[in-house]
Amino acid sequence: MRCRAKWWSMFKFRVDGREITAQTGTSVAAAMLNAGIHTAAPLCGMGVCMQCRITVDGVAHVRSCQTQCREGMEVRTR
Amino acid sequence: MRRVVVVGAGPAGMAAAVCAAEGGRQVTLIDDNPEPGGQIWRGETEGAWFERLQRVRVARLPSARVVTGDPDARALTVELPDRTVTVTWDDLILATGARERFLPFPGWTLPGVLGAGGIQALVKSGLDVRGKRVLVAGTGPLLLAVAALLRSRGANVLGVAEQASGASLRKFAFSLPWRKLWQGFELRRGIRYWTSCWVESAEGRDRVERVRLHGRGVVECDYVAVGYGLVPNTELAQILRGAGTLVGECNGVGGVEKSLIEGQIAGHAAAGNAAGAARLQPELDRARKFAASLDKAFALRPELRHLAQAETLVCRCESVTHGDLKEFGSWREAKLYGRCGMGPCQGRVCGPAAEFLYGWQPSSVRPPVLPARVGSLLGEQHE
Amino acid sequence: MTDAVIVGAGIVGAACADALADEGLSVTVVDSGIPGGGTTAGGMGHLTVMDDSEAQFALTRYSVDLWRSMDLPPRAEFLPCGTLWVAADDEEMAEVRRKQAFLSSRVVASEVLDSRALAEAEPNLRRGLAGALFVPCDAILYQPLTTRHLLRRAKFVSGEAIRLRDDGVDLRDGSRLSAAVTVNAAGVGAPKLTAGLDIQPRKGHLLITDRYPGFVRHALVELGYLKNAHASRADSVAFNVQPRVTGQVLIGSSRQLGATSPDIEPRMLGWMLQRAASYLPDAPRLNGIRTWTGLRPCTPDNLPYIGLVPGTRSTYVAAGHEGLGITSATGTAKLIASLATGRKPPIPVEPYALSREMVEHV
Repeated sequence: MRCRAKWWSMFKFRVDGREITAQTGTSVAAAMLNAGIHTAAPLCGMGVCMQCRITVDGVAHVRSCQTQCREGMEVRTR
Repeated sequence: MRRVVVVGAGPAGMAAAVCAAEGGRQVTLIDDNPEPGGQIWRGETEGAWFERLQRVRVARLPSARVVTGDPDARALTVELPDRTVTVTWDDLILATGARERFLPFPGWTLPGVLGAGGIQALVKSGLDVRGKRVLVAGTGPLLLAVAALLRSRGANVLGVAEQASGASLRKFAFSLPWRKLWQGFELRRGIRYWTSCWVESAEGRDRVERVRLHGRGVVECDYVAVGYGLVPNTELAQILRGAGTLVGECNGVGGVEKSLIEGQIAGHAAAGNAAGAARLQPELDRARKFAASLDKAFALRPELRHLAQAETLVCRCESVTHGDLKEFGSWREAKLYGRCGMGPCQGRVCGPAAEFLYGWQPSSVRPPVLPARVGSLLGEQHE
Repeated sequence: MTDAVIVGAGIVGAACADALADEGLSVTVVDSGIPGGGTTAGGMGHLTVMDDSEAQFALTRYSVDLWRSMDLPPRAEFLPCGTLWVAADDEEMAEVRRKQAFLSSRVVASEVLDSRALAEAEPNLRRGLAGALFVPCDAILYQPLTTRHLLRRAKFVSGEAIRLRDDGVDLRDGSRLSAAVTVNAAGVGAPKLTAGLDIQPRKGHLLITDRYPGFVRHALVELGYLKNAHASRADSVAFNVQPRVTGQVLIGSSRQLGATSPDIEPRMLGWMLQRAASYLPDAPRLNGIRTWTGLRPCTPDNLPYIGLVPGTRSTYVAAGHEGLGITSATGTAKLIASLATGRKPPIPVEPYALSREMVEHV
């Protein structure tokens, strides 16, 4: 299995006020699905369909599948 | 020094950038993702092309979106997370790849219903599928690759529902080069593969819980990964009015071999290496034949046009249903009178679906290629 | 056999069809494209009273009144948001007061807003603007579906008209639509059917954003719009932004005389967006999702042709509305209907006559 030989760490960020844990290199879309959050669910996974868009740190219409998780990120799905 | 600009760092773009740079050209490689690899090699770092890319000097612009371009000024407008830059080219190679074709069916908008390439991309960006029951469906060799990846990541792959018939596929398998046939076999081992089979509907409350498979009844699942082939991303090429050389999936869907060959040929050509380009011609012919046979084997069957019900959404961005749309006579009517395609995806999803369902030809593309900050489109300060 | 044939299913032709139907005439409308799909679709859907000449004021004021009294279906997306004519400095504020006096003397309500009131009305406008004139009767609608609504009582024929005469219209496929009254409402294509019309295409760019509800609340237009739009032949841009019912922001405007390619020109688009950003400093942070262009049919004196073709009995022209086609469609239609039925025109029709002497508007 090919995998990234890279330093990784766990960190926390928030979706609609709820704290989620994610690993370095995880997209926000993947992290949300892993946490069982189904709003703004992705479809194409590659930034084209615009179904997964969320507000990140106050900026609207951000594609969660193309955005890497960051420590302390504030995500709103509405 | 004359600069070669390559848009897209999937296999085709990587091959083009490597061959141009190895041939002595100054190369800039632009891609929407933070790392090269495109879709099929997303998240990978090992392999001949990755090594060669590491070794040559290529100016990389990752996490960068080409939002528009001016073919007269030979300039691309490239949006980065924090600023927008202009990249000018002397030679331009477009390796913008392809996206999945989604065909609407009842329940396709439930969370957990993803593309096949979609789930592949998400798994490679950290989606945890261990123990999850995943049904893979749609059409194309991609489904097997996705099923294999899912299984390697611990998913319970319930099966692959391929809409093409067994007869169609057998013909295809016999026409493949021997090498590819074995590859296909290796991927397949242990995975249930149902032909002439497709998802009729998906059901669930807040997310998908089960699907109804044609001829096979109900299957309980956690994820459905469904994609009906690939659609070339030609939007940037259209906005640039034909400037640049198209390579890879955006130049006709044909798999990774064709992408690599076309990328190499374009890279060699940009470096003035006519011999290098010519040497690859026989392989290109073979790759294109393979692409044609792919097309034929996985042609979409007419039953897929009848899955959507009146209330099934076709344009998800603007919530336009099949019932709304089937009254219209053209894409333009659907757009102006029904709002279909007027949302942020600008028809990337509903366009190919509408073309298959209603026979509509899509209309001309306008910039930006994808939603871009107004600030990126301001251009030079006007006097 | 039909009573009237109209060439052009844009909003002007459609409004004419509606007005003639009101008079009891049967109407056929012919167009090679889809109804409301040409110049009509490319515009901003702004209904606005314009005062840069008496004739233009008369037509737009009458037309806006007609729009407001019309029973439009929800899909027409009629939004009575009013227009704010924005003044950047004291000189423009003087123009605001002049405008207010003009409108008031003609019984059109308007209100002068000072700098603070403007900032309250539109928080996203930049600080330091002098004020604005609020014209509450102005509105916005969605043109393609409004056009379709206006055509509901007419018969639509898809085809290309090649000849227009008193007794009917000939189509390229050899067929003929016979009628007692014919109307050339073909906009930019009108000169091909009626000799002597001085109508030139004037290209405009537009951009629409993602959804940002409340970013702007009214149609916002800079006072300089009239100067740029109606008085100049050179390429120009002017701040003209409006909210759509979806919450998207529509950003315009630009003008280029004689340019006919439908392609987006990055230089013009950029210039237009820079102008918008100078009034709305946060506009650059919004996502633009699509741009497009349209061709306005433009006459030398910025007034449309509305009237009988000289030398004919019942061939009319209703074309050349520049950027006021949407606004003036209703008034134009009533004028055509009155002429066609021999009734007294509801407002004087001489300023729009085909035989008028054209003085280039400076």
